[in-house]
Amino acid sequence: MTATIPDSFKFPDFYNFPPFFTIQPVLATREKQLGQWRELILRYHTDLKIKTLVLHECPLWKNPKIERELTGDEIRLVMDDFVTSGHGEWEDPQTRTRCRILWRKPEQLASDIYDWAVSNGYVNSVCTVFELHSGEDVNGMSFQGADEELLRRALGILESQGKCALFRGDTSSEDGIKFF
Amino acid sequence: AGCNQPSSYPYLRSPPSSFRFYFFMKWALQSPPPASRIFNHNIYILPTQYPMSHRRRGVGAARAGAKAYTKKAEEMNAVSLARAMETVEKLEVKLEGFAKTHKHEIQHDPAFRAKFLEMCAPLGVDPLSAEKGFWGNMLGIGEFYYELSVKVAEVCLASRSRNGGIIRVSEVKDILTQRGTKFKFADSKNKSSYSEEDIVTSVKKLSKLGSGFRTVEVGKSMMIVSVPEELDDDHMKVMDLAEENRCGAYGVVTVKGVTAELGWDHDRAKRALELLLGKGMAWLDAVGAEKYYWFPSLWMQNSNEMVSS
Repeated sequence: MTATIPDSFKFPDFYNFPPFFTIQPVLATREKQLGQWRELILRYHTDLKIKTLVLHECPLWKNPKIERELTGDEIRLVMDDFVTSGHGEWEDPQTRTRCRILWRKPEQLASDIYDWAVSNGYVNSVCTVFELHSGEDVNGMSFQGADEELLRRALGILESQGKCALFRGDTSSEDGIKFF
Repeated sequence: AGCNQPSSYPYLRSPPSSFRFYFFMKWALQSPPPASRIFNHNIYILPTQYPMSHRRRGVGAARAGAKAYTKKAEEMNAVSLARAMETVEKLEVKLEGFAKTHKHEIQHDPAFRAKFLEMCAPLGVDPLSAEKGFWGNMLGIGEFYYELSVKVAEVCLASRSRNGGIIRVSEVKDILTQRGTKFKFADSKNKSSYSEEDIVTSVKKLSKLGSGFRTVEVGKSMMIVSVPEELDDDHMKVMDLAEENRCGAYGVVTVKGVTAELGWDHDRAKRALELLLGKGMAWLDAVGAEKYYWFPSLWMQNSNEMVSS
């Protein structure tokens, strides 16, 4: 059962361009097209705060207004490119039906978090993982409302860069982060 | 006997051949009319003004006469040229005065500006050159076109991956307008206004620099091509078809449509379409067994009505 797209979502112009739903035979054009698909998938899931793309439920593959849709093979091609580009991860790499959307790449989140920490005076002080995704200070930041799994990935990157250290808390949400 | 009459009408009599040249020269090299009539096409032949007697002379005398006429002709030309240049200089001065008076309109009103450039062209005045000197410093519209051509080039290059390097002038204007593009030139606090004509002029400037940028007409639309490859006749004809909406929907063609409208055979049509695909100027739309070729540069963005077919 495909989900319905809320009216609030604004589709890009190229969504109504019929060739958008045919994977282009010319490689240079295909590159441009796949870039457009990546942009669309990412924005759709980020704006509507949807964490997982379920292949056969995703309403993006079909545009009834222009009577065009991607075939099964074409959907696979688009998704493989999406995952390769680092914007998503297969929850089930064998069957590849569910894809976790990384709203921001972990590296990007990592630098966003660190910049926020520095500008808000968290260097040499501690905050919890919970505060990172739901605290008052993080209003409008890219990591607000982010998946804890994703945050952990980002923090892992910061740790390897020596920019922070993680401490165990009572619950995973209460894990502490000290920024350097 | 030979004829000796002064004659304004060389065809009245047919003199013996040895004097034919003499009479021709006499007729051809009339003495100059008064200077005020320099642009007057009525040149009056006044026999009394012949510098030389028209009486019959020997051949040697005829040659000496011819030399005198040549010298006179040169003098005349020099005088006419000098007078003509004087006139042009006077016109240039007038033009400069006009530009000073109407500086604001020239800088801000595209229609006025276009007319002004039209006036300058026949005089060989090029206010578009951004160099120092009267035009560069006073009007600065050379600067304006320079700035505009840079922005136009930016828009063309940014959209190349989408449309293959061909784009409508009107689309360029829309994009620049959306961006709220301002120009450094002129004392304008508000947005400078510029027309599609201005964009075409700035592309002409670009093409003079050998940049590969040029304008081309497709159907009724003026387009800018920013890729150096040649677009041959077949390609242009196919795009014309798409632009003129002769294949079912606007901005799209099929092999069948091309063969029907242009009378080509299947291979020629297919080759042209594949080439356009290869250049990135056309995108493929495969619906079942049907193949449609769409041109992003011709496709309307707000094409809800266009899409029905």
